[in-house]
Amino acid sequence: MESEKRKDPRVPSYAKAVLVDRQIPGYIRDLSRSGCQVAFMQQIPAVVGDLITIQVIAEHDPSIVPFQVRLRVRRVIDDALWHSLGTQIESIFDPEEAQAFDRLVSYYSGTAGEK
Amino acid sequence: MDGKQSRTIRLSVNPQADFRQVIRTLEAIVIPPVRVNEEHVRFAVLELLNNSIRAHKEKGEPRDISLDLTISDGRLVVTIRDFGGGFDTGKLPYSLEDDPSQLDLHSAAFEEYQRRNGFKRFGMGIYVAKKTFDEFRLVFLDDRDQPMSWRPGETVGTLITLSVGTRGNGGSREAEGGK
Repeated sequence: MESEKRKDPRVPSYAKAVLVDRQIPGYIRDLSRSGCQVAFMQQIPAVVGDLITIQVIAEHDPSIVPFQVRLRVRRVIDDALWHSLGTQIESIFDPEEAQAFDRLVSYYSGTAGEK
Repeated sequence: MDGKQSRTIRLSVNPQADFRQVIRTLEAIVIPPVRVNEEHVRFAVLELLNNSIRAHKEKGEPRDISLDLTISDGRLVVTIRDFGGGFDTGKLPYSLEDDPSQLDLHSAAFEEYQRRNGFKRFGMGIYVAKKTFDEFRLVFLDDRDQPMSWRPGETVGTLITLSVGTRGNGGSREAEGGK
């Protein structure tokens, strides 16, 4: 599997994500320190190399306020149900948002405050 | 599986459970090959569980949500039973009877719903389930587990039943349609 070759292993996650410029809802279904997979139920006008911005809503960790992140599209995976973008983090708008993404990754990696 | 066996996995999900544990538990379940990607099946179930957990938390309902996954007669059958009080289907951005393949996710109703809920709710859990599974059934239950129309304060919970044919068992609509 391709994911096994990654330096940063991706972990399953569940966070809502809204494509900012078109307000299209989607989901972050896995993520790592370096990127994430964002899945949409509708066609997304994005190709490999494009830069997208998503608003992340992490409802299961209330300490993470909604934040935006810019992602470079590295893969487009379409099937009959989902249009998924494999992405790499391009840059994060400000340090607080960088921390928020870090907390999100830590949360789903199980390295943050597990009950 | 020869299509005649029936096997069930039952999970009880505490509404206060750490959601990561819910994800990991679902990841650990081996979903038999079905006509859609198993990851999509897991995600559709996760999305419905997320709705149930939210409903329990909003209502302060401590009882567990039950999730059953059964293989029977060449089909994967999933049931989710919660005590979240049901919900007003009229507030969804579509009708439960609508064919999901005909729904327009760009519709004003969807956009209005998502905006009204600050994008914390997409109104897509049932839509995702209907797109993923061949069959979808939703019933509201009263305090004796009897089906009822939704009535605020009276409806106790929701029972959702989903099914999809396993590959190679002729159990899917798709396979039957192709014969």
